[in-house]
Parts: sequence; C-alpha cells; structure tokens
Amino acid sequence: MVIDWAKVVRKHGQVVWQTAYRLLADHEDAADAFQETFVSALQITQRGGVRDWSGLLRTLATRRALDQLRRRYRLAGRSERQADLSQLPSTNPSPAQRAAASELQERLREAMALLTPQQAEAFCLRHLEHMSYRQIARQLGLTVNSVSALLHRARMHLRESMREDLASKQKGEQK
Amino acid sequence: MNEESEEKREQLLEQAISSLGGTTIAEGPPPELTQAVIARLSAERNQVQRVGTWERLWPRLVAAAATVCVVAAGGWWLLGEHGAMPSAYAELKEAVDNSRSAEWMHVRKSTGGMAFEWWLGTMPTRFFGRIGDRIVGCDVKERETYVYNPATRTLAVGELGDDSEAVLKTTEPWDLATWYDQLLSELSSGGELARSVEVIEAKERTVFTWSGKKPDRTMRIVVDTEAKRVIRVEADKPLGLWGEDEAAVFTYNYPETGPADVYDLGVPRDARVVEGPVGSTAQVIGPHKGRSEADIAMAAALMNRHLKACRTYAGSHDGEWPDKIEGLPGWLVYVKPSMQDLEGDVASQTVVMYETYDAWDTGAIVGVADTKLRVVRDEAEFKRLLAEASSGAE
Repeated sequence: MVIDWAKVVRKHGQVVWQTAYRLLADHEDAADAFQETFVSALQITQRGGVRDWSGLLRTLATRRALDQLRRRYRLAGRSERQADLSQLPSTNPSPAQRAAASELQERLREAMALLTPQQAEAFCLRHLEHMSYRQIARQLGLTVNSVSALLHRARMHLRESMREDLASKQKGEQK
Repeated sequence: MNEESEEKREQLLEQAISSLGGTTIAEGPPPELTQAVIARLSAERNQVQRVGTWERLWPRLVAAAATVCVVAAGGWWLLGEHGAMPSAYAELKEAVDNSRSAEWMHVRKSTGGMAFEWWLGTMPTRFFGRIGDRIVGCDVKERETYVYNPATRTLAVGELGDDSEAVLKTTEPWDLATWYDQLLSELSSGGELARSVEVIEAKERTVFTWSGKKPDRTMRIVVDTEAKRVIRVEADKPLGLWGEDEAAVFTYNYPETGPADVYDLGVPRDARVVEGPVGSTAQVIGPHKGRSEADIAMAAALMNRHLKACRTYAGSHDGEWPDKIEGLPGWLVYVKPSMQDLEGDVASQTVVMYETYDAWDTGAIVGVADTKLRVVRDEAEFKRLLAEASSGAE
C-alpha cells in the first residue's frame, strides 16, 4: 500500500507539533523533533503497516522531543536555576505566578531528561498524552505490568528531583 | 525526610505535571515546515523505492494474482448454478461493502419486539449500543467491554476475550455482511434476488428484494442510489436471533462522528464502575435470575455466532458437526447432532445448544440444528427439548 505522506503530515502534523512543542518549549527544537518524527515513521512503515497513526506519531514525537531535551541539558550542564516554589500556578495566574509555573515546567523537563529513555517515554505518554496503560504497552512493545512498573519508578525519581528543589528552596529561605 | 516534605514533593510533582500537561499550544507547525517535511519524505521514499522495487514487489504481485484467481473461482463455484454472477448480487455486495467501510454506522431496529440501536466505529473499531435497558460497548483496540446495568447503576468494565475483530464485526445480527452471507447460503434452496428502482420519500432508491424458499423469507434491502449505501432492511423473518415470527425493520445511517464512550449514551457519570469478566459483551451475560430482555438478546448473539461457526465447520467436514466447541462459556452446553438429526425438518427440532440455569426465571435460549434460535419461556417445554436432544445424541 502506498502511503500518502502529504495527507499523513497534514492530518497529524498539529498533534505531532503540540506533543513536541509542549516538551521542548522551543521553536527550533520542536521543528527538529517534528521532522525527525515523520522520518522515523517513514522508516517504520518500510518494515510493516501502521494501524494506529495517531498513537505511533505521538509516541515518536515524544521520543524525539525527549532526545532533544537530553541533548539540551547535556550541553548546558545541570541548570543552576532553581524554581521559585513559593509561587505556584493558580486558576487566575498573575505574571509572577505564570513565571513560576514556567519555572516549574522547566524543572520537570530537566528532571525528565534525567530519567531512563523508557521511563521518560512511558511517563510522558501517560501524563502528557493521556494514553491508557494498554496503548502505552502496545506502543512501547511492553506488557501492561512493565508499563506500570516503569511509571512507578519514573514518578519516584521525579519526586526525588522535587526534593532537591525543595531543599534548595528551604536553604534559600534560611538565608 | 519527614512526611510533610514527602507530601510537598508529591504536590509539587502533581502541579508540575498539571501545569505542563495543561499547556495550550494553539499554533500548529509553520506551513513551510510542513512543506519541507512532505518534500523530504517524498524524496526519501523515492530513494527507497528505486532500490529493488521489482524484487520487493513481485511476490506481492504473484500473491495478488493468486488471490484474484481464488476469489473468481469461488464466486463461479458459489453462483455457478445460477449462471454468471447477476448484477443484482454484485450491486448489493458493493452497497454492503460501502456501508461497512463508513467511519461510523448507526443502526436502529425500529419495529418489532425489543428495540435496539447500535453505533459501529471503524477507525478504530468500537461498538456502542442500547439493547433494551442496557447500554453496552466494546473497544476492540483497547480490548475492553462495557455493560451498564441501570437496575444496579453499575458499569462493568471487562476485558475482551479471544474473539477476533473480524469475528466481532461480521457475526452480530445487525451486520450487513451477515445478512448478505445468509442470503447467499439460501441461494441453493431456490431463493432469488430482484432489483428495482423506487421513489421513497421523494428520493430515488435502489431496492433489492429477496424471496427465499427455505426458509420462506422476504427481505427488502433499500440502498441509497447515490451514496450506494444500505439505508434500510425490512425482514418478515429476520435472522434467528430476533425470533422466527417477528418482522423487523432496521434503519442504517452513517454519521460523521459517534459516541466517544458509553457515557455519551446515557451512563450516569457517577455510576459505580466494577470489574467485568473476560469475554465479549455477549459472553459476560450468564443466565442468572432476573436478567432483562437485553441480557437474553446478548446471550443469543453469542449462541448465534457459535452455531454459524458449527455450520461453517460442517461445510468442510462432510456435513458433520464438531465433537466439541472450544471457548464456550460455562453456562452454554453444546450437544453434537447426529447426521440423522440434520436431515430435513428434524433439524429444526433438534436442540444442539442450550443454556444451563440454577432456577428457572424468564426463559432460556436454545439453538437448533438448522442454526436458528428459540427463546423457550416454559420450563416443561425446555426440559422436553433437552431430553430429546440428549437421547438423540446417545
């Protein structure tokens, strides 16, 4: 079967872009991830058919965006910035609160870049793409139990990262 | 590490997830990026295709040619005694295929006995329906089934059993392919399909009228001439499930979208969700006391499916039915019919499948050797049929 790639890109481009941009918050990086997502999809279709385009492309976009995140933090080294955790997003955020929310998001991105690739993928697909355990299992070629274990470990590591933030914040307050 | 900081960390993580997940990205990819990606994919695909195109394609071409030969031979064999395939059959088959390939199909049984309506989504495959007082659903991709019981306000979410997608799609009583296959199977008994054009509600429609001899059945299948899709089926004796004496009209339409889940069909958001058993929506229904007409219909759908499978098996085993049926739920009993039981009118009286029960309630369903189903309301009658079936099997 010949795939009409123009149709696939136009139909799923928006969701691929959103997936990548949400994780990267950077136009250039998102554009790279966008392009790499479809190239990966092309390679996959040369090995076999695709039943769930949306699921596949969201998974690939997440994977490519996480690759970019890892590169970003490797190049920059561990960030010295610490989020201002005293101001968290509210339903009607002020500019300061928006800034804090943005800091918090950045902190989560950095923490995700430190997870193992599988943990990070499973975490993003579950919490950002809202896929079911079964969908994630199918996309990653795992069992539902493995996905569950991956998510548990990912959460544990991310909580630990939050502890570092909390400790920094408490130190800051003491000063 | 105290409990408070543990809690605080969890809270922070949740807030971070919710903040990142809730970020709205209104803009899509820049148009020039989309164009660049399309151009790159096109270039890369062409590059791959240039390398060994013929080597990769020839096995497929051979397989395709073989398939065409087999299909043509099958069609010739099936319809041979009636001459070349009449255009009416070809046209009806085209309408059936068109109807089944729609993204969403909605079917409603608008007259006769218990009402039902059903939505079938094909991309991906999922079913949602109202049968009597029940709301049911099945997500084939997620392998999940849903049965809402309004009496207990519970939504049972179960795991879909081993039924393949193809089996689920083609053996439900409302499925157009099932109707069409049934007509083909009745061809050898002298049935005929006629085609006419009628004006119905100010629109020109193609009407296919089936006159069956055995069973003596008349069906009218109305097709939208322009869209070439089935919009109505009228049957004086529908397929076994809905009862031999019950005429019914099924109306079909093809909406652009369908329900997202069973809640869209009216399951209350606060319904208690309970874990359902493994099996299809029909398999999860056992013959328990106080079950509704809807449960009976779903159980009947399952029996219908197994009986059809037996008939198919017999077709390739000199008419002999299987010794046993794999995968029957515990509440269904199969009795293999003898060759004598399958002859003539005896077949319609020979019970080959029945439900077990602890205490007689509203009735039970029995399947007979001519693959029809019957709902038996009277316990004494049920026992008599069972006794005859058992003695025949010995």
